[in-house]
Amino acid sequence: MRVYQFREFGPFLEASRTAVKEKILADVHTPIHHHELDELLHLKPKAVNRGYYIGGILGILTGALITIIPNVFTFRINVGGRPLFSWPAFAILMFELMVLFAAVGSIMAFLFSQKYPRYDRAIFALPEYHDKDKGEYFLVTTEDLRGSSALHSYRLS
Amino acid sequence: MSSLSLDTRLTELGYERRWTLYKLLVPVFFLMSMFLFATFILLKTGIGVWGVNIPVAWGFAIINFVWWVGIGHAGTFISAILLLMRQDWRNSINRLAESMTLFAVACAGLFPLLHLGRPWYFYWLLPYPNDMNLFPQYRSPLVWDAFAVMTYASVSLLFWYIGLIPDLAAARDKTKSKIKSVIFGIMSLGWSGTASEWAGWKRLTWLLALLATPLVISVHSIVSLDFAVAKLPGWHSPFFPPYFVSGAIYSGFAMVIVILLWLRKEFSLEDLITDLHLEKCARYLMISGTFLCYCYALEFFTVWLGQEHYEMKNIKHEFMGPKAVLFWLMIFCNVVSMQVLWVKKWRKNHKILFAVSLCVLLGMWLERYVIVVTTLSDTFLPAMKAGYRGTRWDWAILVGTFGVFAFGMICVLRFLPFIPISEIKEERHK
Repeated sequence: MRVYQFREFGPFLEASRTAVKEKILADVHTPIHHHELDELLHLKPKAVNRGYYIGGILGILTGALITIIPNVFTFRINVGGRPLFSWPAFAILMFELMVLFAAVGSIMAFLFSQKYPRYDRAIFALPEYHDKDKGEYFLVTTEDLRGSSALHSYRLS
Repeated sequence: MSSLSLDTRLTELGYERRWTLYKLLVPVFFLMSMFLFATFILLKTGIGVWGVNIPVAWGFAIINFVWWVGIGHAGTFISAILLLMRQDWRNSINRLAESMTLFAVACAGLFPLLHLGRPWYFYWLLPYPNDMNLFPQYRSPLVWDAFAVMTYASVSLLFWYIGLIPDLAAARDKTKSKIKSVIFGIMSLGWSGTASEWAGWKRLTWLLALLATPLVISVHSIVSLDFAVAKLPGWHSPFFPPYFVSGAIYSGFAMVIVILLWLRKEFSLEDLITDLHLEKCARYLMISGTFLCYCYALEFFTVWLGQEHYEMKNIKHEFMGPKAVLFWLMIFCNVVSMQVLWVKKWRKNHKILFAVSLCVLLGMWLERYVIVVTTLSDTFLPAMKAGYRGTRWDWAILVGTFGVFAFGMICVLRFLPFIPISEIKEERHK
């Protein structure tokens, strides 16, 4: 694999487009998020969304079950004339657990989709990746990229 | 300043200014020791060492809890709500604000535990499997509090950590120390800045901000319901939730301003924490303070309009009772002092802004004191009348929590990138 290092985003983006066209793009590493790369690589983090919604639904159900089952079914005790199914009070817990479970669900989905923790990435073996003195944008390709305006390129095993 | 030099500057800042932080450790450790000793005395002897009595069964514990939780809310406001509103000016201060939230909520959480008397039974508030057929009372605001504050602390911690991951990776790459490189590397989970990671991270921080936003409203509303659900004069009021939330944002922004003014001077961060940031924070202080003033006026007006005997008695007690000095001091700190900020020249004067923020912090503590003590010390039965005064152990625990808070903040400033590097770079790239 070859790694091309760029100082500016513009030439890096052009090279990435060329790599995608030639179907040799392996990965890109940037210091910040760029929407152009999301469009180029058709990135849609659906897993995070799914984790969010599933977590939220589980949270609501958990909140509902832990409040409704003991108060309405198991221990049907009249406490000061309050209704057994005190839904305004139960809704508060359902809301809080919905938020908590949605947060945890989306984070777990993010960690699983990115396969974290990943301490064995090939790019970490490249000293220039950590120094970044010659540029912060790295394009990794499976073959040589012709006509690239990269300042530096390296071979990655 | 180039992107690379920004990386180096922000990751090394804590090390370069370490002696500024180390000098603070002496008073901070003294305060923490005071807290630990007072807690030891409390656990050894019992709640009787505090000034609580019958009928003033709630004292400093609930006051300090509500005060600290309120302070935390401005941090979430800045990091979550302003993110959703796409206010890019928040970028350089949002991690500091989130860190402030974490340690404020940690300090707040100590009080419900300590005030139990037997804090090792705190888990009885949660629905754990047991063979005694016990469940928490889900209709009680104290149980709602337990779930709300636990959710708020967890979501704030997760939001803070997720936002930190790319900057931990930058610190891993920039640090010259092998040990720090390993620690930052482990904490950053192997982040390498791929497009897929950035896309997922952006979506995740947006979703977490969407979750944290209603928490700002709901958590302090639930805290206010600790009072509003009780049928006591001065407490049983439907406007307590927005009243408390606006008070929380008010005290929180005051704390943010105090921290920012100190930090930008000591760490020479005038280019990152600019006059614009202070101006915006001052304006949010004014907005929340003005709404709080409206809530005070509303409280007095609705009581006067209703002419209910015990409510009127409570207001009279506030205005002219034994603790009236504290009430009027609260009005000065929360209502009067903030008015100077309407004048632009004075708003831009950092000394005046700092003084007003300190006044607001004191005023908000006094507000909770007046709410709790005035109502409890004179309610319905003539026999249920008593004074209240905090004992040395009450004061020691309160002042000690300042040390706990300051220690947490010092650790963040010393060891972690407290200015979000990637967000600043993205703002400059735009």
